[in-house]
Amino acid sequence: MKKLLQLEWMKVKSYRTFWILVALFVLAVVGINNISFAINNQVNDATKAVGIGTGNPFAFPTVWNTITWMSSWLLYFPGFIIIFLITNEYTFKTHRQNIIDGLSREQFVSVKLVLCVLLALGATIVVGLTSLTFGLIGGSTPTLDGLQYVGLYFVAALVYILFGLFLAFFLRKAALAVGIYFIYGLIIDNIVPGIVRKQFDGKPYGTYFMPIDVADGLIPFPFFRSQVKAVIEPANLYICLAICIAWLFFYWLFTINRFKKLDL
Amino acid sequence: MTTVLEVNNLSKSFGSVKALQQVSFSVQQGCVFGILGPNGSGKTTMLGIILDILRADTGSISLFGQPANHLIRKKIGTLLETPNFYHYLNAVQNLEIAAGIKGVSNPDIDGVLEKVNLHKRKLSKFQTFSLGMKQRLAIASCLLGDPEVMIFDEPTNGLDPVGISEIRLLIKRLAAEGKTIIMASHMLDEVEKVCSHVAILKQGVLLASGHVDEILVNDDIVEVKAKDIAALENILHQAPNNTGVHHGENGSLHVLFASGKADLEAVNKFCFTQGITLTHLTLKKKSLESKFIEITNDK
Repeated sequence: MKKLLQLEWMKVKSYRTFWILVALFVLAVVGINNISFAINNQVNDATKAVGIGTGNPFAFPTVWNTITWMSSWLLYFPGFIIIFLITNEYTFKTHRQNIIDGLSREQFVSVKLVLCVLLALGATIVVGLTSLTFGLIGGSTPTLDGLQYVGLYFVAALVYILFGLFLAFFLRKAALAVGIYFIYGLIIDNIVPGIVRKQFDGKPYGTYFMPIDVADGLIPFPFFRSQVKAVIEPANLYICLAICIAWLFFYWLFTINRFKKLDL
Repeated sequence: MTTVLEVNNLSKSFGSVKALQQVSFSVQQGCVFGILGPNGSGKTTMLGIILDILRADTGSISLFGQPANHLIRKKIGTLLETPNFYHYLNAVQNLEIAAGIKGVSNPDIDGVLEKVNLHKRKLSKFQTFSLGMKQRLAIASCLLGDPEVMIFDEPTNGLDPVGISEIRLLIKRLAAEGKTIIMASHMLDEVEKVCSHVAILKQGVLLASGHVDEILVNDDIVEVKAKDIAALENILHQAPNNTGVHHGENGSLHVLFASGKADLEAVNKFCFTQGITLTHLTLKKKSLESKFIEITNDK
């Protein structure tokens, strides 16, 4: 596997699009949290004046929840990265050449899974460090309480990235895969659970059935926690986690079986 | 001599198109094996199955006496259909990846690039290459690790005349070194110039396979004319040593003889003793093209 990863590194290290997307992701994580940090400070000043205590979402331990939730909107970036890396192979027909030169089909597709895990890990580290930084800037004492949100972010990242892997291997074309990933993930996957929620008295059933929204259900909405909880029932963490793992298995098994059986 | 490649009863369909039908043949070590066939005859499909990028419906492949697998593929240099490389990497980076996959330690990248005359452009990105340069890079990639067996699918595709003769020379040199070369081509003269053995494919069916001299025999043709063509045709069937009589152009008749066996004097004498005076008598060599067309049209 080490040799396979070295090959992937040779493919990636001179691939400019990859590094641009990585840089954009890091910038966006810092940027989006910085904006919400600034807004939150203003809201806090206002609510304090009116006398409603909302708690500070940028203080430990809530900051882990806040930053991971905000940053989960940006998981499309690592999704795009994996889509480009895989559809490139199809565009250049190097998926064929790699097999011709002596990789087994299983090796070719397995190292992509490892790449997904590494990407998810990288995204998680960036987000974890950002959380720590904002918590420290907020002036509260650091605590590992709430660190589970970073772990959940890793699972959510895996779901987003493997959904991208699945689409890329299935559709083979970059434009098609990116288009469907974006339209599906940003629109359909968010609208359907909302509609279902309305039908069932605010119960989060819809979330459980969606391939991406279920990952969003892992990390609850961090702002105005007590007020929100009274209005909307959050998705059950353990159900979401179980369904996420089921989806991950599905994406993986579908992809590897398809790649092993079909003409390339 | 050991068998490098054995293909048994290979069949493959794409929907209703039968790309290969029950194809079997074998390639011995050290020969230059040409797979000859018109466009769409199944050459690339067959090589694709041998290399595991296409799945056969039925049949089996063995390489070096064992069922084909990816470890054996590492020892074969292959150019299939088009040169496939990472567009954003340069020639050296692309060859490093190929060498990495093949498990060639310390690959002689400069050496293979020099062999295909691409050394000057070794640091240019693949996307800046012309079609001919891409083809040269693909051949350079085949040479990595100095494999004993090489598979070339239309190796001279996209090359200019100088490039074509360079690559043919390179293949001949490799053959002289004792390498086994399997080469698909739709160009008959290419196969005839380079190959020792040939298999002819047409619409997925193997028409013939064997030594080039046996398959692509050069018949001698004697073209004759007389005033009474019908009578001439009648007697020519009895001409000694002939292997067939066909109608030629401009009302002439073609009498076929095995290569080097045509004797104009004997034909003339024979007709004269049968009471027919020839008005035209010439010896023609049958071109390989017409032989190829004849083979592929017959069945």
